[in-house]
Amino acid sequence: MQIFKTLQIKPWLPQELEQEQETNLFPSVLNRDKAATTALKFFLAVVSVIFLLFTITFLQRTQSFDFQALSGEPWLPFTNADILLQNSTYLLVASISIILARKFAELENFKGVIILLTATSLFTLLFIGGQVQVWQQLNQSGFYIYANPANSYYFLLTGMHALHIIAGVLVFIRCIWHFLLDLSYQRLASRLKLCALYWHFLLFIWLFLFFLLTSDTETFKTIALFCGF
Amino acid sequence: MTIAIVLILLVIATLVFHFISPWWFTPLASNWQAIDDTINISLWVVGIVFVAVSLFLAFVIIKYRYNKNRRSDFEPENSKLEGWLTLITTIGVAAMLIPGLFVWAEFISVPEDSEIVEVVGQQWHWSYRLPGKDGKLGKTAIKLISEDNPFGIDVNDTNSADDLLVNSNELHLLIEQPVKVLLRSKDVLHNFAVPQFRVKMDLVPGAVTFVWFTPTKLGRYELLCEELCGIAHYTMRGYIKVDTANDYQTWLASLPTFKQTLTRNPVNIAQGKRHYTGCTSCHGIDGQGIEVMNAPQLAGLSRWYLQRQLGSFKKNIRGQNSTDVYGQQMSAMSALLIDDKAVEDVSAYLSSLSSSQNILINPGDIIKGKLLYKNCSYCHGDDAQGNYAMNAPKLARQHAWYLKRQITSFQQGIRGSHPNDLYGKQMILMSKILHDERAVDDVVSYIHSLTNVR
Amino acid sequence: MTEMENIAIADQVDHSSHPNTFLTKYVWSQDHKVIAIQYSITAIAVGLIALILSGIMRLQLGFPNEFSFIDPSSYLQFVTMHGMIMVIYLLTALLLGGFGNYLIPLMIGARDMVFPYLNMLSYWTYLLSVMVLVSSFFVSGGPTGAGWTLYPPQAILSGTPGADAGILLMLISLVIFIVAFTMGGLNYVSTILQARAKGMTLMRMPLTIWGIFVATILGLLAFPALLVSAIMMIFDKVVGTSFFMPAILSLGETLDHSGGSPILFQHLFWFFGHPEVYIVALPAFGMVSDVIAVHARKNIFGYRMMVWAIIAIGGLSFVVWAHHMYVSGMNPYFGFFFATTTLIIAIPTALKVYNWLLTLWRGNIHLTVPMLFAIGFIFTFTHGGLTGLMLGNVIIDLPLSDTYFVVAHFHMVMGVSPIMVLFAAIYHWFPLFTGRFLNNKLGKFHFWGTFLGTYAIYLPMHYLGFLGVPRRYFAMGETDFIPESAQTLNAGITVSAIIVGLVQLIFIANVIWSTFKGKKSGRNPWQATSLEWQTAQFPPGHGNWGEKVPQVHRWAYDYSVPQVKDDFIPQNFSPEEVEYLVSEQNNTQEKK
Repeated sequence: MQIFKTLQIKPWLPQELEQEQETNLFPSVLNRDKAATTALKFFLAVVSVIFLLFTITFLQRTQSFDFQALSGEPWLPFTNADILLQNSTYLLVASISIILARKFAELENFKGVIILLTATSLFTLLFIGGQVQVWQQLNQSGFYIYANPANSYYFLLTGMHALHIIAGVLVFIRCIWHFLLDLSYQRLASRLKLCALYWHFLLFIWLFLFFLLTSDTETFKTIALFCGF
Repeated sequence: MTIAIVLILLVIATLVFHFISPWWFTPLASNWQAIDDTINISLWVVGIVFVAVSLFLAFVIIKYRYNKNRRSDFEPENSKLEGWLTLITTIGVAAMLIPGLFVWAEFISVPEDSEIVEVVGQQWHWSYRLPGKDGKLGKTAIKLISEDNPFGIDVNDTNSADDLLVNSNELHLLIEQPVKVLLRSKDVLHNFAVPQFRVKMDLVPGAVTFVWFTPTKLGRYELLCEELCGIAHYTMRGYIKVDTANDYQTWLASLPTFKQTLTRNPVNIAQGKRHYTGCTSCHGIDGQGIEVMNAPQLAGLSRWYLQRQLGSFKKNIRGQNSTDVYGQQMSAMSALLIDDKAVEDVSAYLSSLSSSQNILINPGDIIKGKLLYKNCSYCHGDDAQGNYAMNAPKLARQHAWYLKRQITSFQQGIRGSHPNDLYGKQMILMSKILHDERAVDDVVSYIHSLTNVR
Repeated sequence: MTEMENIAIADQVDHSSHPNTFLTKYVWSQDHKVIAIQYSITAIAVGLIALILSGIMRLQLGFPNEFSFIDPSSYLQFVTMHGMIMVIYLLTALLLGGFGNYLIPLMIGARDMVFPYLNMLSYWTYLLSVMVLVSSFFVSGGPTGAGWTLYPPQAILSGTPGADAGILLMLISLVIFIVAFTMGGLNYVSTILQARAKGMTLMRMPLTIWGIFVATILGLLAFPALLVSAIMMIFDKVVGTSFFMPAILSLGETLDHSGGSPILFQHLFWFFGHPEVYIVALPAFGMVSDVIAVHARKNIFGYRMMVWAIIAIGGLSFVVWAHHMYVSGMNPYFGFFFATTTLIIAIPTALKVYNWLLTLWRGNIHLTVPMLFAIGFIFTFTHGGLTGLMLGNVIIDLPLSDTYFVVAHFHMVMGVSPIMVLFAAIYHWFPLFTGRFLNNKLGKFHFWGTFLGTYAIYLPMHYLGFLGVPRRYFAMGETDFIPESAQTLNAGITVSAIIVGLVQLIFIANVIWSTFKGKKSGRNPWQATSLEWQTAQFPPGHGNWGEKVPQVHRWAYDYSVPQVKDDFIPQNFSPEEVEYLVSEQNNTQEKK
């Protein structure tokens, strides 16, 4: 590992420093993209920790006596999770279209860029709308947020996820706005690269939550056993 | 240079303070000598390191203080020295840790022959339950808690009938008998701590935790809650009394079983009215209280409160202070009620009466009183209606002069300081937040203005 | 424009034009130095509130029943707000938001943070969180009185003061603070990783930067735990979920909760709370190392060990959290694991103390005010660290937890020590901020008052803990095992505390006076090697480096290098620029 080597350097010895210069240990290209990528990676780490901690508390809670999973039995809402699958598709399409948008930006194709940016926004909003619809359905059929820990976690986790999506959309709109102002394809492409990373990350988180929240009691038992709860 | 000398003086001062300090662990009263030993080992280790590091620091400052003719050494590192220091530190740390872990292993393995005691915490009282003859505690649930079943014990559980209930702040333990204390909370987090026993543990709502020890010294020890549990946290006290076998058996025999607490004697209000005739000359025909006789209003007070107070007077817990003239009077008069049945009947009768308007003298500032009363409202209720669950009597409609006298009595320790007055101590602590007569008048006036309660 | 993208930020003359109106220069500023000052002033202002609260608490403890403006509710509220403000809104914000912001770009040779706009946003978000927090003093019921640990269930039940608006505002304020910290923190790590000047390798960075860097990563990964617990508690309070709430009574009423776990909150809280100790301590460790090296004119002893220790402490700090919970009723077997990890973390920490001592060893110690504070730090940190070894040992924690021993310990190690470093740092870097020295005489007075005063507060307090006096008690009243003399001791502690509080006013006065009237320092007054003192313009202006960012040729600790004329070589001196003593030395040898 490079980092262990770095940490063993004796910085007071000049001859070793010359070696370092040759092995290019200096930060190479100091540009904004690279800094932004670093920042985004750290941010994704932060978000991962948030969802990880939620998940751990959730898994612990699945083992309590009053936990009633949201799927398994025919009358439970996510035994048939079609609507959630549909929402997942929206987010998947949005994630793909954002990559395509970047490709078109690299090709400097204005029309393609605009269409795909619109598609991304549209499908992301469809996802949010779909999620809101599920919340309403749950509420209407009596699965209130406070009625059962499974419901509480469903609203909590999907809500947190939606919040992250909305924050992403705001940044995304800002990208579009800047593009419309300066029409710099190169900048747009580099920004979209980061957006795409974020979208895929949230897609991944969503698929994880999807699996988690629609599991039945048996699955939770297995997971909990596996994790040693 | 000064700093070096000051550092040396601080080290000396610290050591002197340590060795002459009268503030030190209370004498041990349990089997946990091992904990004290571990602390002593650790204190020696950290003490030596502290003295060594501080004196070395002072020495370095003196020796290498600024001298314009000298230059610092250039020494980036010294692996050998650092290696040795790591090794020595690791040994020191291990010397502290390993004995500690052995004692902890002992702490978490409860001896087979230990008796079970349940300690129940609530805001801001303690109560206790013993398993009775079958050695097993009945199941409990929060939703079963009621005025008739303050422990929330499940009636249908066969183990519950012979459970012995201690509905007071004092628990007795048998000397040299290991006990496993099961800890349960009705509301928030509490902590079971008796400094003389050394061990402590939180009470967690929704879970049962435990701690074990063997009391080894006869005596009465104060039990403190040491986990912040709300506004009156500092008044949540109890007592653990360590008894000889004889005393312990006597105490056990005095405890009601769960079954007994469920089958209450039917009260006879008419009989109660007859008993009350002896009291009317002071407390009035309708229990409305008479100022010139210095007798408070009794009509409309809760049964459980009247019962407890009459019991206290009868058992010489209340009204024993030499300066408590009226209390002494009442203590003598309470002897007229010959037995518990009479106390129950008269209490039931009085609580069935409705209270009359009260009298206010020395009107105070109601707005200030309201601010002060905020602290009282947690237990006595926003309308001063009283709350059985908090062991807090109704205050609304009581005469202002009486309230004032009682508050003052609590403040001066005239009321509530008897060692067996288990709830009075709380009021002594709380009443001290009223710093002067003015504040007492203010709060009493505010209580007077609360008329929402019958 | 597109070409600009690929030029190193460091070599761009500027990424935004120099601000010239008052508003853009001092209020909506994107300059890391101005933002740092804004952070510092806000943090110190809110810290003063917390200081006053602690004074009121001490009055009650020292002289119970004397002061009618404090009752059990307000006492708990003051305890809570004092703790929360000091730990989060003062120490974290001042060390990372203040010093981190000021020093990172200057010490690594960057023109600014990599995202100046985000940096500005971070400050304003922080200010918002402070305002939300302070506003809780003015809502009905007042601020929360649940203790700074905010343990549910009591934090959101009516037996605790401020259980309605107070606790909600506290939780919301924390969430906002975490957002602010995340914005700032992402900036710090990206800047340190991506904007270092040429030649500034990781192992050439001053320890200050190492401390801030690792602390920021800790913060980024630990604050989410607080965020998660705050959000879940808000849900419990507002929509009636049962994340932390079991079936429960509140003042006799049965509530509609069931099945939640209060201990779960404690795990989350301390999973944040313990790293938080090091979020405060690591920057302090770093800064004190630099102060000691500069004022002892000696290279830091064992630089590599210091870096490894910082990283090791940072890593270990995530696996020790449950040592705050030995008596919480968690699975008792956890005790073995957490006692062991806790005592292991003492080893790298002890090595740091040794290395500071060995840096002084054979140094040439200038007893300046910053050095005095640094020495004060070593003393108080040793004291506090050692009592921490006792508390970390699970069985010793049983009698001592929740007593004044704990209070004394964490104030010594997390209050007094980092504040000693903060003062050392302020006295040390003040010339960099303003071009002037802080008044030396007042500074010495401030040091002695603070150092001796705090020791007089916290040394006796440990003994109240041994005695068994519980913490968070409004008054002891008469308690069988507590002698009268304990109250006298308490009164003495209060007197010391009031004196220490007043001495801080001298410091504030000194700062204000010296900012305008202090003695001019001139460039690099301490003759330090690190980059922040080597700017073209002094004190550094917007963009920090003028025409060209410096190139780094050496580590930050070339003090008293043998054969070299001066006793320090700035980091940006190339080997050719160094003047050697060789000829002189030959001369002296010849004379002998």
